[in-house]
Amino acid sequence: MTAYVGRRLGQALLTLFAVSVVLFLLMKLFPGDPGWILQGRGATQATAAEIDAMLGLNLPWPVQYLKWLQQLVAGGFSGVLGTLPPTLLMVALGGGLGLLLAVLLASVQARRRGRLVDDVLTIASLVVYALPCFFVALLLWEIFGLNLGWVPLVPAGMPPGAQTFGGWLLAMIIPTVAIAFTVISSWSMHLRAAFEEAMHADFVRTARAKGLPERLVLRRHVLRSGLLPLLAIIGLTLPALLTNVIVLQIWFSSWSIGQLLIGALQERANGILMDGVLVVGVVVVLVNLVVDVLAAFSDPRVRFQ
Amino acid sequence: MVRTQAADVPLQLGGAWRARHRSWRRLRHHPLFWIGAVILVFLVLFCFAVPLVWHPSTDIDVAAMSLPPSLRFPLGTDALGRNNLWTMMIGGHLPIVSGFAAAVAATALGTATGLGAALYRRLEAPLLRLADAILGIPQIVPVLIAEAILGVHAVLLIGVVTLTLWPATTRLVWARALVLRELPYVDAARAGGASGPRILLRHVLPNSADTVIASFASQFGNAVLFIAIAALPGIGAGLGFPADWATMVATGFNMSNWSWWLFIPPGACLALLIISVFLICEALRQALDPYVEGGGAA
Repeated sequence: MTAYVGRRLGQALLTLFAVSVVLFLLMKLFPGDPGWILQGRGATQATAAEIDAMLGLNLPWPVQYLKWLQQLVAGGFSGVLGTLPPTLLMVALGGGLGLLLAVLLASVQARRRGRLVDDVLTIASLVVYALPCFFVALLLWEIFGLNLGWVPLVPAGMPPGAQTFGGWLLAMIIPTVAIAFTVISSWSMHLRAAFEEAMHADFVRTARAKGLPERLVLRRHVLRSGLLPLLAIIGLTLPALLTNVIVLQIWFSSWSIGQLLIGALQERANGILMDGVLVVGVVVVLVNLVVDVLAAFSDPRVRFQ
Repeated sequence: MVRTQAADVPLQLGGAWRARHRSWRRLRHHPLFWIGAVILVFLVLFCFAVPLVWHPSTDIDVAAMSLPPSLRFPLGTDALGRNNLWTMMIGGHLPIVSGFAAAVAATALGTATGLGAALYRRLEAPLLRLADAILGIPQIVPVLIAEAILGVHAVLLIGVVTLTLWPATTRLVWARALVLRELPYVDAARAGGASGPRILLRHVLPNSADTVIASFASQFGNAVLFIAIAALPGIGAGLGFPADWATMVATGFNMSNWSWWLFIPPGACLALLIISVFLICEALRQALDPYVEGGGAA
């Protein structure tokens, strides 16, 4: 187990390095010479070059890359870390609700496979899968926020001390449901396929043969077999999940990583943009690491690949 | 979908042609295929064929502002009195064209790299690390950066979305090919002197078809979604008028004056587009799978 975790950790560090290099190269393509932009009016070629030199932008790229990493750590990620708690909470709430509903959906469908309930739920989850996240969020906002007034129309970010925690939680309901909507279907479809396969496995036949009620067969034997495929699909859908979270944050939240990124993009603040995206990259890589270690923990076969 | 043991399926002789013929017949008899195809053909005709013969005035009409649906305006009018039915038709161009282009390109690139990573061990680590690195950056970020550099342009959107999407297919195809490369028939082909590319194209690729098709369906959904987000006003660059469906959703959402006919139809059409492609892919996957019962298999 230790050897596997060590190997996987090394792989994660390598991936992080690759993320930072890809990001650095992406940013080098970004237009706008900071030397010109910072001066505003009255800039000349000479002063622009001077500012570039001051910022270290005339250094070779590898040196600039290392300087960026150094400043990133020394500068405490330029305040990006502060926007992480509301973001991670949104991911956790949306993903958690999605996970709960996906497991529920897949197990109901596995028990009632081939029946009307199964078909209806399949169609429903296909519709949920196809509805764009931003559309669902706006629709829910219109119905439950504007028309019914059940949820407050405040931004779902949490400026420190500006709102009560309860009020913030209430405002988080719509983003949470919208995010959950984006993952329910793909997760439950994968789970259902795994259940389907397990239904025909020898150990399930044995469980049935020894007289175990179908309910217990499902709960004890079939349900557990879905864990590995579920972990795999969670890791794979995470970037899209974060994209949707960022979009919702740009619209609905005053203090979040989405706002930070879009603000940096509009002001051409390359440094903040790079730091922000890298922090999100660290989150993705870390979650994938945790997912893989969980998979190895729950199934010895993964460890000895 | 019921999987049976391989031995339950009657042995079919007659080679690849008959298998292909059988798959086509199973597809033709698959209800999901027809539902998906009808929706998709309807959307394509609605967006591309109808505007060729029907072009209402798009001038600002103060007398017809924000009208609900009526016989004269089947989908109502927007805040400037323009016919929403016509805007809906034009609004489908970007999602349909760029969705298909990006999904096809990403799936092709991902399949090629996935197969390459599984069969050439020297490519495996670099390709997978690159894929992981791209998957580590939320897809919307490169799209927004590219937009900031070069402005909104359909070809640019397709290119960037393709570059952000392909690693997902790479991972799936690679995982599938890992299983396939250990199977006896691949060994047999190699022992028979088949070259690497031949093994890839003749033995591994056809047997990964279900993975590639399933991946295409999800890539299409993602491509449409990311292109939609890239066009959203306030996030990407708003497209102005006539906009795409996503922009119409965002502008149709009006805090003070709820006009559902401006908001619901574009969102529903985006969903219908993704559903139709998903259904066709699912039917195709089942028609190609020899272990799926029914559909005229015997």
